[in-house]
Amino acid sequence: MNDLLVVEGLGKTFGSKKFMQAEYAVIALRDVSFSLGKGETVGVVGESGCGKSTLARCVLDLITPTTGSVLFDDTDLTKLDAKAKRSMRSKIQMIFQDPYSSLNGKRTIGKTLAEPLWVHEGVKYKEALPRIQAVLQEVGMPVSAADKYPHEFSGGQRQRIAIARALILKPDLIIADEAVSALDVSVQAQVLLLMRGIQKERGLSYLFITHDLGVVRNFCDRVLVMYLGSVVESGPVAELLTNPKHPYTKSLRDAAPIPDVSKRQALALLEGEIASPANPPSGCAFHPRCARATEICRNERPKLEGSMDQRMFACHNPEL
Amino acid sequence: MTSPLMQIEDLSISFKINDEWCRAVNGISFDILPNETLCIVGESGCGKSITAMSLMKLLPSSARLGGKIKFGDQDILSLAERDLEQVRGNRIAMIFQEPMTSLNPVLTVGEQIAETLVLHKGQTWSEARKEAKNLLDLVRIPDAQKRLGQYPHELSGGMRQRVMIAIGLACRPEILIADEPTTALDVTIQAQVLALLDDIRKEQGLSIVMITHDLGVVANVADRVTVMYAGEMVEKGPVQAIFDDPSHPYTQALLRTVPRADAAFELSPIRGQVPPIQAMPQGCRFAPRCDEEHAACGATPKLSPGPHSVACWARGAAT
Repeated sequence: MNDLLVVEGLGKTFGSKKFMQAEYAVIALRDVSFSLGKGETVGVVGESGCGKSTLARCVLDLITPTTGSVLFDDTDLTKLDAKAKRSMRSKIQMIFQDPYSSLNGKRTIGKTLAEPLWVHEGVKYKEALPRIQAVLQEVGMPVSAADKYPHEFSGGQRQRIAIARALILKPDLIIADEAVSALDVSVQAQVLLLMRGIQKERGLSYLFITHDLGVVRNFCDRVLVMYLGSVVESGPVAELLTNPKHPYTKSLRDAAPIPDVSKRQALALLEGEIASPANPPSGCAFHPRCARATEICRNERPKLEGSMDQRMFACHNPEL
Repeated sequence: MTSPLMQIEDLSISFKINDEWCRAVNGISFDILPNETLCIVGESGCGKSITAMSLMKLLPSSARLGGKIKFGDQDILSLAERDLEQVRGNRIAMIFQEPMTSLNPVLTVGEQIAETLVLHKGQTWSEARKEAKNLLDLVRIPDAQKRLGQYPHELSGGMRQRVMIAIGLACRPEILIADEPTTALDVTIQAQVLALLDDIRKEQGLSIVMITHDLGVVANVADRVTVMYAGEMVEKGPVQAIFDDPSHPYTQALLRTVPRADAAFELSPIRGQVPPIQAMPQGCRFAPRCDEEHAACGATPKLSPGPHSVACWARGAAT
């Protein structure tokens, strides 16, 4: 497949070396590599604090990564100067979780949608209007929405508007950071179907960050499972969830409640909580919570092995 | 059949919006049985949370309440504020979704648990502190003695929710109302907290009323389920019946919108959204979003009798 995005060895360390302050380093991302094809949807899952959102922001260069490269359409985003980066960014857009705080409450929807056009193309509001109306219709909103303010819309409608804002520059890649997590299930299904329809229509790709394995199963082609800043397993969604190799993927799957009483089980309990990235465990970061951990897991960090477009996992004692 | 612990009869809750009384909850009735987990499920804006609040009469004075909430030989809704204090936090306790905003940031965890015991049980502070440690052990917080001296910001989300549960359990309540207790937590932590709640229910013999929008959670913890839509009860029954044989078009549609981790299928959304309380449709409130049609949808259907009951004309509702 033709890869749109190739991320290689991406790492981010937050740290401080200030006067009168203890030196500290938080490794938020460690050696993350993956690729994303044209028209493909790759999911990123993991618990809070695993680095999902940092990954999204590093791809967009909203946070400058410490190491590694982000190749988008064969251009390394991390090496571009500010001006080139800016024009490149119009091809990558982002949708955030909270449609209440991501829209400016003092601006009409039309003004909000016009801003990216002004910034990137210098198009004025009046000239932009036909495009604004077209994109509103594409996301299933009435044209009259352009003159209204965000507070006049429900959460689901606001998320449609956020999608419209992401679409208006005709991006090739949309990064959705928990874009449907704050919505009710019935509205969530509406928005997911809308996003899939847009993908079919425009052939764009999604990097879809979520904590919900149900959404991953029904929306993504491939998935990366992250734990404490590293990818621990990746592969095609159905295969990975049916037959997880990494014990963490398995625990995550087994903790997700299924709406089916016959599947009721003592939800497999994963003990403890994710460690602090400021003080990560030795060896495999997951070993303190892992039932399969052995001596080697305490001492040696497992490498992510396998082939890029098939299954990869980082575990000394994988599930059978 | 065991007699119910609490009986909610024809409960309605109205708020004044633009000088007009709007019914946010419209005549719902249900029982809470001893030692059961009852789940109230529905989308945002369907009245789940205010129903839960009304069980302790925790609504603002601007709300107008109708109906009865029988708890023992008392009617919660007609109790005076003084008598309510004997019930709230004591015989009925509540835990909320966001453990950060419901804990006091300037008091230690130990003080917040002990406070409940000092106020309700008249214990001395030193007795209460000892009991607080036992409670932290009960909710399986490791290193309880150290945690007692910590502030909420020093704890993770899962730990904070455990502290909330400890406060809720301090006075050995008969009913614990949990309003979306795991919605803000990661799935792995959610599984831990749900398992903890279920163990405590069995050990202490209390009843749990769980408010949630997550049908996966419902399928895993509920004994009985009540489905609410737009302030009305549309279906209720044993959990097995609700999931194996969902009857109301809303329940059926809701189940088709939930993405499952164990299988991929075509999600089919429900069109439109829950109406605001100022503009509730006449008759069956789900009719504008419903795919089925019946000549009587313009009138309000009542719940059918029996353990598994449904309020829908197309399912033979009674007038």
